[in-house]
Amino acid sequence: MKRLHSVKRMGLLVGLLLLCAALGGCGAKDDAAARVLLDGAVWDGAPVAPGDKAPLRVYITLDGKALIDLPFDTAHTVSVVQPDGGENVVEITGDAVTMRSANCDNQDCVEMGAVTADNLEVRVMGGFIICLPHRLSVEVRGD
Amino acid sequence: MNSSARMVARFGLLAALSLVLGWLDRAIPLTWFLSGAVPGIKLGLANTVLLYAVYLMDWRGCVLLMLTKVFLSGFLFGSMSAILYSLSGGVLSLAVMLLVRRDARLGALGIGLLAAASDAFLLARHPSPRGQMLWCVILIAAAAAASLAAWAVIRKRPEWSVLGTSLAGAVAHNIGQILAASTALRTPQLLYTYLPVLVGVGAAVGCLTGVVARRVFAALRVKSE
Repeated sequence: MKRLHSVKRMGLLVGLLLLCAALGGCGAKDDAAARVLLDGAVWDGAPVAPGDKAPLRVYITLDGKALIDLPFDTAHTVSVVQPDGGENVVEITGDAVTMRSANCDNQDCVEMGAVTADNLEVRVMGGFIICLPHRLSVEVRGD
Repeated sequence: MNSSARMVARFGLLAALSLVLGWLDRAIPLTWFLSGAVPGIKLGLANTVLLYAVYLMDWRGCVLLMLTKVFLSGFLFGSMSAILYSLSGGVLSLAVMLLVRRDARLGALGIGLLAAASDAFLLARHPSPRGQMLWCVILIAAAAAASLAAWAVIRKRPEWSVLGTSLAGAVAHNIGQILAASTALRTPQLLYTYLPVLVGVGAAVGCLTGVVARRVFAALRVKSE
């Protein structure tokens, strides 16, 4: 009887772990309608030409799906507007990338500071800036 | 007093307390720590309530309390996505705490070794750490040492068991959250850049809340060995 009890308990724990994994999957939503604005205008989807100095690029992804990628060394401002009203503004100055603003509830992404070619290796988050509530990630990396 | 009335009263008290402490966790700006480099870290004071429940209630009560806390504080202070992340952290943390409760020494030893391994992993990736990484490496080493010290303390004085459970719970909470986050964002890279740091921070914070919980237990005369 006691043995049966502990088997049931283990089963429950395993079930909870599976639930935990499933929840991660549910966190992702459809992003088909997210709009990308490049320097204030709706982006037409044309690839943004590589810069000439650094081999680094900035990759912006929503729910793990690539939205847009840009050269690290050219100044651009990218806004990502989602159907639910979520909006993030990523600023690329030419030598740094920051999340300039986000209308999310914790502002972690804004407080994460800038990614520069210099701090890429020593930042805790590596080349990442992440807005968890909006499931948006910005990554600076070489090809 | 009738025992089910006592249970309901106790449950309500613990749920209210965990909500207030959850609010306090959000209000204490730990994100300043390392100037925003380690996003999303909290003191985890609300976890002391769950620790108390782990020693005082059966697992059903604990699960119900955890769910109540996650959903109510999500609706009150957070958003739908915040609920998902804190639920996955809460579930993993509670499961680990219920398992570790039987032998807290194992919890403290396991977390100490895990933190030491994380530190070694970070040092292997960054052989000469500087800037934020240097501070992280130092912090994680300190957390690993503290966890191993906790293991030694629990071996000698079993009334400090709650420290081991707290350590394991805090680290498991962080692991659950980062798993949910990297799954939701489909960025497995997060796991090897950020997970070692979160393990270390979890151990450090778990030590603090464990000491707090031990003080509370002593004052309330709850047996935790």
